[in-house]
Formats: sequence, structure tokens, C-alpha cells
Amino acid sequence: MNTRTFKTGDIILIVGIVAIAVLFLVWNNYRAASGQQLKALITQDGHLIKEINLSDLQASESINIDEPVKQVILAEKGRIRFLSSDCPNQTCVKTGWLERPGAKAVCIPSKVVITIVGDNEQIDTFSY
Amino acid sequence: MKKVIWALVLLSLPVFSSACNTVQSKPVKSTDFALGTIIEQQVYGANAQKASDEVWAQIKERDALWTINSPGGDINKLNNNAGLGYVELNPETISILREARRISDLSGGAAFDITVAPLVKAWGIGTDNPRVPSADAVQELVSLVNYRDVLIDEKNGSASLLKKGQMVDLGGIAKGYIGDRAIDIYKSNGITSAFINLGGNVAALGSKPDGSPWTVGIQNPRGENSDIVGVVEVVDKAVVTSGDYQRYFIKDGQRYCHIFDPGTGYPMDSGLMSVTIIASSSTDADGLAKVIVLGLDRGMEMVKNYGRAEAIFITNDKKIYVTPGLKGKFRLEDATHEYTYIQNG
Repeated sequence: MNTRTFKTGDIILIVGIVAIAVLFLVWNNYRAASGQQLKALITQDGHLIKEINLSDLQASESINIDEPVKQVILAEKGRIRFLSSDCPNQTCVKTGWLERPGAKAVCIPSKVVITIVGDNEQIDTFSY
Repeated sequence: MKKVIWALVLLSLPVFSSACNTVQSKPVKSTDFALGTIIEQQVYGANAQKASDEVWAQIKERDALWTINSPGGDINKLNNNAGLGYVELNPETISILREARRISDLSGGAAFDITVAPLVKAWGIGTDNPRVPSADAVQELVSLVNYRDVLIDEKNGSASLLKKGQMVDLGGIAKGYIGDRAIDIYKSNGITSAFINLGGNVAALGSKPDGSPWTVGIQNPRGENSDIVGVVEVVDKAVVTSGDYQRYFIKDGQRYCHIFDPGTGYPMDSGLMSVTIIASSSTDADGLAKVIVLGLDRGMEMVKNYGRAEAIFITNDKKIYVTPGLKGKFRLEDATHEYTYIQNG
């Protein structure tokens, strides 16, 4: 095929379509790549009370829960945990650090849940 | 020339549509606390919100009816009237008692018995005050354990416990049973893709919206939260695990877990750390997972006799025994490299 068979308008159209397709691909890949970042969701009674991007965290951060029991959650770069809690069983504190997508720490008395999420979760749920 | 442009437009279509798909298939995810544990739903489809709401409503209702801690609940009425005759109960309570009986019959009460409650109470495992009762006390309480003493009067919708002091605890079956009811609710709402996870008891409907199977991580029984030993892929199946690690206490170097051997009255010590059952019915999977009490050989035999379940057994020496039907569906994903995979049978 000779390039002279293309008119200027055709070339603009072709370049336009290719450019849009490439932009879409790049955008999608970018979204997937940024999804690999670790994010922690803290919910209480099913409501989101705090969302922390653990991957981008520079300094450690404390989150205080006051009701119905006093609790301290500590977030550091790439990980998060219940640091202390006034609940009876201390199950949430004993769970320790959460570092991987899907990891979860639960305090039943305060109904506080910390979950680590990433868009590229390979496991849908856990049996335990 | 036009052909070239059309070809380009057609070729670029998959690029655009793939971007749209990821937006369309967003599930309704929700989390709540009930039945003494954390429960999560993930539901896809047009009626996803309505279906999840219905499931939550039903869970709350059943929880009040069946928890051993609720004074006005059916199970308390039944227990308080032990040895005194029949009490009228909600049809759903009658239904779960019937199911409990069917599951107990599978092992003749050796693995699963809903009347172990007096023992659970005496040991206090999972409470702030766990203790080792005297051998005599255990002996006396074992004599009260017998699921056949739960008498059901289908015609009048009532039930009774034969002897005074006997107690029913639905803790070993309620999550499984409710998992099945949740699947019923999803189906009646036209949902074809969803799962519910009741404190580790997973019931999955269909496959993921893209047609691929659900992936369920199996807890490493000696690892931390969300440390897994492997992954099982399921479509239209329940995945239920019983483990010795969920609630336990250690006294004089001995580890006592929350799962009781109904025959001895002591926390089970069978050489198994966990048993995972994969079956169509989540009620049955929950009941069958209690074969952890029986140990590897007898447990596997019972799964085989049941005939419609697959299983993953993990022994104290970190060997993972997997039934033949899971070939290609279970993969070892053990970051610790401590576990050995063994194809069973």
C-alpha cells in the first residue's frame, strides 16, 4: 500500500483512533498497577471510619477509637494493627500486624474491623 | 481506505469494552456482626442490594432465636425446659434441630452432637475464665450428651430435651445452616454470583461474574490471621473449616481447644489441626468438618461414606491430606514451606 493513497483526514483519523486506544490501555494498566498498593480500611459497625494508604505512608499514624471501648490502631508503612484495646478477650490485639491484601483484624466488642485491600486480590475470601 | 479505518475501529473495540466491564461488575459488599462472629457478603447482579438486605434481616432474626445467650430465644426455652416436656418452637428452629439430628446421625454422634453444651459451659473455653474440670465432673456431664434425647414433635412444632441438665448449642451448625438459607435468598432474587462468609464458613453461589471459580484461602492452622496454606477453587460450593486454633487455652503445657469430643468430654486431640470440607450443602459441610474429632483415618472414611464432599485434612505434623476430587482445584500456597501435600486415596 502506498502512503499517497491516504488523505490527510484519514491519517488524522487513524492516528486519533490509535492514540485513544493506547491511552485507554495505559489508563487501565495504570489503574491495575496502582491497585497493587496496600490500603487499610477501618470500619465500625459496618461504616467506614478511616481509609489509609499503607504503601504511601511516610510516618506512623495512630487512630483512636473511644466508643464503646478505648482502642488504639497503629499504621506504619505497609502494615497496620490493633496496638491496644480495653476489650476483654484481646483477640484483636493478639491478631498482630496485618500486611497482606485480605488480612483482617476484628474486634467483636467494639465492632471495629481492619481490612487490608488491594485491587489485585487473588483470593476472594478465607475459610478458617 | 474506509476498510482500514473500520478495521482499526473494530480492533480497538476490545480495548474499550474491557475497560467498561471492570466498571459494570461491581459487587455489593457488606460486613456485620452476628452469631458471635463477623459475617461478610459479596453479591453481584441487579438485585444484589435487596438480596443482601434480606439475608441480613434473616440472620439477625435467627441469631436472636438461636443464641444460647438470649433469654427469650427458642434455644433457651428448650434448654430451660429440659426434662420437663415439650415446648413450642419457631418452625425454623424445628427445621435446624431436624438437620442437626441428620448430621449427628452421620457419625452416630461420635463427631458431632448438639448436646455437648453442658461440657462447653463447664470448660468455659472462649470465655474469660477457661478451666479444666475434674475428671468426675467431666464423666457426669458426658452422660448428659446424647443428640437422640432431642425429641422433635413435627406435628405440633415442638421439641423437648429428655433429661434435666441437658442443653442444646447450635454453635456447630447454625453458621452452616444459615449459609444455605442465604444461598436460597440469593437465588430467589435472581442472583447467580455471590458468596457469604460466616466467620470462616464460606457458601458460594455460582462462579465469579467473569465465569472463573471463587478462590478460597485455607487458613494456616499455626499461622497468623490470613496466613494460608493453600487455595481451593470452587463453583456452587460451601467451604467450611474446623480448626483447633480458633479458641483455645493452654494449662500446664497442654493445649485445650474449643472443639469437644462428645465421647470423652475432653477437647479433641486427634492428631489433626484442621479439617476443611467442600460440599454443595453448607449445613452438611459444617457438620462434616467436625470429623476433626475422629482423626485422619476415621475422618477420611466418614467423608468417603458421605460421598458428596471433598476434604482437606491438616495433621499436627503439618501434612496436608487432600481427597482425589480436589485434584486441580486445590493448590498449595504455603509461604512458610513447612507443609507437605499428600494426595489421599
